[in-house]
Amino acid sequence: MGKTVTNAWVLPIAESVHVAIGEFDMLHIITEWIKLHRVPHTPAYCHRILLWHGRVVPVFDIYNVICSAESARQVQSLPRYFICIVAYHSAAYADKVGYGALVLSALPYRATVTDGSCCDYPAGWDDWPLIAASCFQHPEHGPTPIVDLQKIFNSLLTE
Amino acid sequence: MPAPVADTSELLQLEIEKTKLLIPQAQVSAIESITDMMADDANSLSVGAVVHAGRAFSVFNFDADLQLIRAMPVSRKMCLCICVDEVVFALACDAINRLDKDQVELVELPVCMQAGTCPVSHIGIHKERIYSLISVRALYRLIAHSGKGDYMSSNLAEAHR
Repeated sequence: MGKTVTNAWVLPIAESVHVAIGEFDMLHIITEWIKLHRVPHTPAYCHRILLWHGRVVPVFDIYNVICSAESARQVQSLPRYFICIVAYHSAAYADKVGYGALVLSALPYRATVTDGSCCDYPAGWDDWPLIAASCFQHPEHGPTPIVDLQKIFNSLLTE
Repeated sequence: MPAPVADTSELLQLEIEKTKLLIPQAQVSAIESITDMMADDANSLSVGAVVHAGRAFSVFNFDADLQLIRAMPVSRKMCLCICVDEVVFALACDAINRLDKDQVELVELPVCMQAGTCPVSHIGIHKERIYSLISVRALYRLIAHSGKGDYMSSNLAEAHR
């Protein structure tokens, strides 16, 4: 039996913090300025939306979730210009694709994931299972959680 | 399935600084000038009151993040008097315009953004502009949560009578 090899996108979400999504989850990378709209009284990690091809897309900041409120505020003051549009199975609209956006600190890039590269989640934050499905060992970045897009966009995380 | 939107033909668009809100026109009793507000009737939460058809509406002032504020920016020009069953109050805002609901595409607020205190039920798209459709009752609950004082309790009790 040969090893199963899957392609993924590695997403830098802060300096030295990386997560990954499946190859076909990525729809578009927005590198130019795009207007983000704040929605009052929404979670700090997902308080903005954008219009993409006429669709309302929630903008999810994973780093805000994994950081304490204080450090997240500090990060928010840093210039982070990249956003990627992802697809997920929408729970609200059966059999339809939902669209979400993730905030990135740098451009994403491809990687391969094999069965043997599965590993524990990175130390320092115990709640990775809230937002991730599994984790793999990246040769450069170490443990890299694979984000569960259905989970983060189809439910409200406890703040 | 997305929650249905109240069946109204018109929507009012309110501007509070950079925040653009939508509210069904059927829930609005009147629009009064901020200059008609009686600031003497302010309390710990409201900034004053306006009277329409013999009924007093406590005026509440929010900032762009929908947090109650006491200061009255010079940009506030109007008071939107809201009356839905027991919910009676007024909102200070910078500008009010009418939008035809048929020209506004309304989509439910994404699930991952539906925090318990969020008064926004839907996002409206009109000519590539984004608006937040607010629930009057949720907004009133937000005001009630902001105040622990006797006024709010007595005001709510009075409203329920």
